Amino acid sequence: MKATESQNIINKNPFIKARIRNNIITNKKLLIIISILHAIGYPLLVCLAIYEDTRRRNEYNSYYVDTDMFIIASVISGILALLAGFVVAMNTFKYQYKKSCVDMNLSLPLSSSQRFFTDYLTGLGIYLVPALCAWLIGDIIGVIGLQLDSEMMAESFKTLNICGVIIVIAMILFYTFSVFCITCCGSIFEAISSSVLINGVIPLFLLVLGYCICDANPYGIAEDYLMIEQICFTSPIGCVIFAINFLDDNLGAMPVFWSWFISIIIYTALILALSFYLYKKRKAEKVSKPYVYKFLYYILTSASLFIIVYGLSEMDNFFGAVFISAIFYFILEVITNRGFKKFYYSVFRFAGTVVSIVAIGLLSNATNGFGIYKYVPSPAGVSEVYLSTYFYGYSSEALLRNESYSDRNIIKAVTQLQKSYIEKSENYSDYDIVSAQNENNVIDNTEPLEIIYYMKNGNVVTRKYNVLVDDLYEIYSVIYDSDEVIEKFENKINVYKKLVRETDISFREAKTGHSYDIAHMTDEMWSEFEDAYKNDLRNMTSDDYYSRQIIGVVYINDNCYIRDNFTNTIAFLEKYIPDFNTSGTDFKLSEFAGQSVYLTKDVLFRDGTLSDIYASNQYYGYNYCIDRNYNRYVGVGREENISHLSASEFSVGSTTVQRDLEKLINVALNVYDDKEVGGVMTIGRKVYFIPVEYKELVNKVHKELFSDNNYVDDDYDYHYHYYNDYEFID
Amino acid sequence: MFTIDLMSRVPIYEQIYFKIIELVIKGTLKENDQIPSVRSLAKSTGVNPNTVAKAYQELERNGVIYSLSGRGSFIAKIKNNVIKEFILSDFDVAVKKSLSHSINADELKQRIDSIQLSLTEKPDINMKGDNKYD
Amino acid sequence: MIELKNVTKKFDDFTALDNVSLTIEKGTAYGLLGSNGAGKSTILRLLSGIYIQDSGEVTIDGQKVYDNTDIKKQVFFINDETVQFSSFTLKTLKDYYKNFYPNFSEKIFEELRSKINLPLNKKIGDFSKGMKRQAIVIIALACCTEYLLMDEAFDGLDPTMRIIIKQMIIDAMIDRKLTTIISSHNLKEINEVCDTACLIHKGNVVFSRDLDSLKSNIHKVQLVFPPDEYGNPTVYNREQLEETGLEILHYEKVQSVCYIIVKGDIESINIAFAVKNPVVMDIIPLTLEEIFIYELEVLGYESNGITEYNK
Repeated sequence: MKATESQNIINKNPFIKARIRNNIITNKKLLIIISILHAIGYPLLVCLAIYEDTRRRNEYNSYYVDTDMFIIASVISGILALLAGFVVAMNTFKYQYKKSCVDMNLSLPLSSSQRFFTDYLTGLGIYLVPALCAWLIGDIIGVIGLQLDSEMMAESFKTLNICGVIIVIAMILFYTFSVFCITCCGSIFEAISSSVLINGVIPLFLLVLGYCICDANPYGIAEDYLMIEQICFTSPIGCVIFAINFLDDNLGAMPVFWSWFISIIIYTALILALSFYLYKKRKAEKVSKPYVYKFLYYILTSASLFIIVYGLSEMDNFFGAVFISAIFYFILEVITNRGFKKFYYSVFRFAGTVVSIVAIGLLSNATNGFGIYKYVPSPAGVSEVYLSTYFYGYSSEALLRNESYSDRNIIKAVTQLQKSYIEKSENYSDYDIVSAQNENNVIDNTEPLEIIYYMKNGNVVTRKYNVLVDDLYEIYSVIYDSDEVIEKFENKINVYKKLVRETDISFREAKTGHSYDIAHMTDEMWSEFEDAYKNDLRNMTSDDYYSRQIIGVVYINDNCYIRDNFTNTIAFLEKYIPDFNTSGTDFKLSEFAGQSVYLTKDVLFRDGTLSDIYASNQYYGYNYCIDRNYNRYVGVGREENISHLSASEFSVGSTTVQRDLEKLINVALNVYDDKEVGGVMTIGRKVYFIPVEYKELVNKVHKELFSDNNYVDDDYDYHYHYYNDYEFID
Repeated sequence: MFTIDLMSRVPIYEQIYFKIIELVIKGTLKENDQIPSVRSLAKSTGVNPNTVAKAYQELERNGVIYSLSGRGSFIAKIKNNVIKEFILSDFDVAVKKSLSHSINADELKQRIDSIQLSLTEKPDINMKGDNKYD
Repeated sequence: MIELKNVTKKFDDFTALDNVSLTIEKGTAYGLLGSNGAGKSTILRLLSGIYIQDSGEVTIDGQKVYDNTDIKKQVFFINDETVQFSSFTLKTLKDYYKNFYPNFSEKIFEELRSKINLPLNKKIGDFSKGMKRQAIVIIALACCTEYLLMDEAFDGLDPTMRIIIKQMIIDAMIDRKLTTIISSHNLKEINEVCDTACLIHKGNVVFSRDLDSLKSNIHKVQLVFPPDEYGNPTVYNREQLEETGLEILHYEKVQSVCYIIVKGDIESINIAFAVKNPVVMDIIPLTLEEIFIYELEVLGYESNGITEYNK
């Protein structure tokens, strides 16, 4: 219906048709160039992909042409075609900056609205249509030529098409920017320079604004995320960033896309409306003045100054930045004023701008980043919350590691946690608990926690806090209380079942570290296991999380904890594992004769990352970290705390000490999850954690038994305790 | 039909007006002869048609021409006194000038008589048929 | 009918038109005279809807011009540029304009084009300057608008073309009451083509009048007065002559002869000076050029002594 309406308007007004035709004729050469560039762009790229694919399938036969140059040419060509939007706008709206075109265009019996929209839309059409054709042709070639299996094809096509949509929207915005700048300017140089500048100034300004806010140490807010949302919909470059991020990170995908989409459509429409308004108000005689609407110039220069001053100040040189920005500013002023007239005005304006910029910075500092850190979303508006305690996660529990939750209680608990920490930050002078950035200075018993709220309206709110482990436990207990954790289990097990594996289920006992395998499970067995575990999860309460012991883990590509109240699962395991025994018998010290034992006290029981380990590769006796991946461990505490008891020395010491040692061996757990640990014991190839309640005992045993015998083996490299297997030191 | 001096100080419509009357007096244009339309006169002389129209309007007002719609403009039956007035206009100017330069009326009357005399003495080449000696 | 009522137009600090009021009747050929920068082009551009006035009203047939498509369809503006149509051919330009002006007549276009032999399919940019002008003029005439505005439009036209154009304009004036407004420095042309003219100086209208009545209201007078009782020639100065009540634009005295430019028709001049009993009183009408120069002289516009009184 809309098509016929517009058809009617065009037919009733033959001059619109004439103008459209005229605009196309004016842009004829450009249209041809753009079409050629696009033809060498995406479709060629697809052909090259087909060529590469065929080549790969035919195992590199002799007719092999290096496609690298073609790929580069194709990409460059595509990019040039995309940049042509600016040229089309300049060509179509020539009468805005070229004096000789003014009379003819403005004396025609065409109202300014008709003229504006006809010119705008024709130019946009010339810019978009070749791109859309190239897209379509490329897709068709791809579908026919590429022999992808259906799932891969669906995936890549979805990706490409979403990319295509984002690119088209970016093109429209780019074109609208150009039209806006051309409307505000009266001469060709300013039109070109503003159109180019505006694309860079807007994202950079937002980025630097983000830095400015982050420099004020707003609690919980990290630089990389702060302005990213705003940058993404306010400029074509932002669109590119959005495309990269969006395709990279599929969490919360579609609502994020729609939120961006709506924001950018509204934004573009506003710029178009403003352009139209300014266009109508524009006076014909202003052509050939540098700027018809000087506010654009003021905005661009002020923003540029802000960027230079804050961008360069990052390097701690405020006055250097001001100096450079002054040069930049006064060059622009001389060009725009076409000379040195009113130079003192320029000086005043410059000074005023610098003062305002400094004021913004001071205000930001005073309010800790304009008080943004205080924002806590209301739980009702949150669609999903994502929790991550970095990399391997504090909790190595499969079901809790780096997951998104939509349960109301969980969301509420997280927001309350956030609220309490924000309050703490306002009362706390201890910056350690406040700063999310200074990981090196984090005090004991805190873990970094990243919270990402995916709001119902598509917004994304990211915060990073260092939280006390106790508070984390509270969240985890709420998670276990909910039924959502069952879903997580289902996801995990479904993924696991698709993997190639040697055994189906592997259960590792906490007390002994011994693994029991169930191989070749049937479908019924799988459902039995799954139902059992799910029921156990369902029955689990928050109290259980605190009180229940972990008796072992079931490995399903990740560690699934079995707690002592998981009756169903235990029943299953008992059924299918012949010698399954949860109670376990006590060990005798003599059983360990011939094996070496390491006992470490004062272990900082925090998560580390491999990168930390590599960093502390060059350790000099400072904090070590322990990796909770039980197959390997890295680092074991301070050098002087590492004690080594050789096998021959087992009999050394009084019987009390020996009894104590035996006790330690018996309480040591291969699977352990708590905020503190009493000590770490390695026996043979296994690592055991001594529960925190036995810390005294560990210290006592350590002191009595090991400290005297403590030696440092010069040949032994304490630096990287990165074992896959131990040496047997006899 | 006639040329207009576009450079002349005399207003163009006056030139047209007087030229038509001159032609009537000379006898080139007789009663009921058609004069050129405004359009054709304007085009042939390169004069603004409104100016031509103005002259024609004046002529019509003074009874020199009449117009028939759809047909054009034609010379009317000229009342003798109009032609007389036209011819005598120069005479009036000359008399006024003479009187203001202290040439008195009697001198003027004498002059008129002598002119008339000189004209009647000369054989009148134009007066065919009235010549006793033919 | 075109009306400007109390129109003011400023370009930054420069006032191009200062409270100008003009009325241009339909069917006239109206000349805009004025020194450079006087405001003539501004008026034309206001009437074609290119500029918008700062204050006052600009109306054609009672309707505002600016951004009014219906009125603009009846107005064609020919400016003094030749560059803007360079990329068009005559045919494409004609086809373009045809759509904007509903009264476009192919017949007239073809008639004109063949008379002067302009090629249809050659780029206008390749034409000579004169041909470029001719091209736009024939399109303008073919559009058959009610109002034709020409800014120094006869420049670059050879005499033959001028005659052809003039004849076309004459036809149009008679056939469809075409109103032409011509701005020009060439007073000869204005004199020939226009029936009404106005003189603009520094954004103000000096006069706006029918050319014939203009000419009949200003005369050159050469006066010699009778000697006084001592036999010395009597010479009156300007103020004394102005006592007669007539406006004197220019006064020159050479020995005992007074050469003046005075406003008024022959009758009133005669009557006015008769009182002083001049010995010699020659009253001569002025050319348009002379009127232009003397009117501006009064306003202080230097014309470099071109005033050759004794032409």
